Amino acid sequence: MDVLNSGDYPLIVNAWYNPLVPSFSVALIHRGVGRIYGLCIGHEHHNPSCSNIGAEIHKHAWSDATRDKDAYLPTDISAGADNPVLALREFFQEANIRHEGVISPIAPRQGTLFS
Amino acid sequence: MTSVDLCAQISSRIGELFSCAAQNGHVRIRTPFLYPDGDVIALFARGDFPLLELSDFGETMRWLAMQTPSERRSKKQRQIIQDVCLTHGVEFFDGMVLLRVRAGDDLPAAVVRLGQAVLRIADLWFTFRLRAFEAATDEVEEFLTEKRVQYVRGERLVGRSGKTWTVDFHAHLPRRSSLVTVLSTGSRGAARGIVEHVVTEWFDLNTLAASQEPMKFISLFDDTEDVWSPEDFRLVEPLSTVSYWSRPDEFYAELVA
Repeated sequence: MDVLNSGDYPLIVNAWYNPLVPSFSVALIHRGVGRIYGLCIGHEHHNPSCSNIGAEIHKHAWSDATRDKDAYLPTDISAGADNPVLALREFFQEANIRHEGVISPIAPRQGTLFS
Repeated sequence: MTSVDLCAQISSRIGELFSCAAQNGHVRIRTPFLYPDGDVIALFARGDFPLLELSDFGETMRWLAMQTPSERRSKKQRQIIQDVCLTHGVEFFDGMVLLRVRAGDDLPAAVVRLGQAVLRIADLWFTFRLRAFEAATDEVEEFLTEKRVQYVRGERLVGRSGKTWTVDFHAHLPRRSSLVTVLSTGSRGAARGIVEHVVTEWFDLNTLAASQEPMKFISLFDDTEDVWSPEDFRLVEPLSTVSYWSRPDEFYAELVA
């Protein structure tokens, strides 16, 4: 989904849910740079400073030094990986993204990944 | 095989950096390997001997999908994945990297083999179109190669002003040669600047269009991104033939005309 913004930056937001693991990820992507902000539930993370998050939820935030490799433990996400709709809503709220539409429940199967 | 048995086999051979836990009907294996952004690579074991399957459950392709606005892999990226699978003896199926472990096979070695394959596939990240114009030009080059068009990429030409211009492609075809500039950007704000640069380029090089071996100038717009306005196309029209990357066959028709 395109993210309209006052700076006319080429931003999109993509989200993925993998019921096999289960895991859920959502990323704010700048078309010319890559992911600049993101939430991962169901995966652990290791920071470049060698500190581990210690939980299976983390948020990636951009810095010029480390790009999106630094992550932190968020305190504003209550949803688990098995509740992607709530996780997406909570991500939008914290990222100040207004979603004008309907977030439908996850369909049983939605095509293949990055084919 | 229980998660305890599986972990015992793995840790006895390759150490405690690998840890296991039963989860949702399968065994999750935490590896010491990391995706390029620092996310820990986990592998999964499901089934049991005589047929145990190790897989990433599609997490590697999910991770790659999160790094790029592109929804599809390029031919080059597909070739890399095939090569990785061949090297490490793994299978790529339905977005998952997996391998079967049969009774008598070396399970810990299989875990490491799959982990290395996942790592290498994750490095496709380095081939991504993080700079849109480079990737579009790469795609055009692939197209010209497939069409068996002779070309030189990045040719430097001196204009009337004395300024040196780098043209994306000098295509040599039987009827006539063409100079092709690819206009590509992910930003509406940058689009007009790119167009004005190309207008200046074609104007400065226009002696080449009037020589005894006249060159055709082609402005190839990467219109897979909705960043161009009608004025952008009209600006370059007097000086070049406008083509659209969403219609590659028309672009090819202009080259051979």
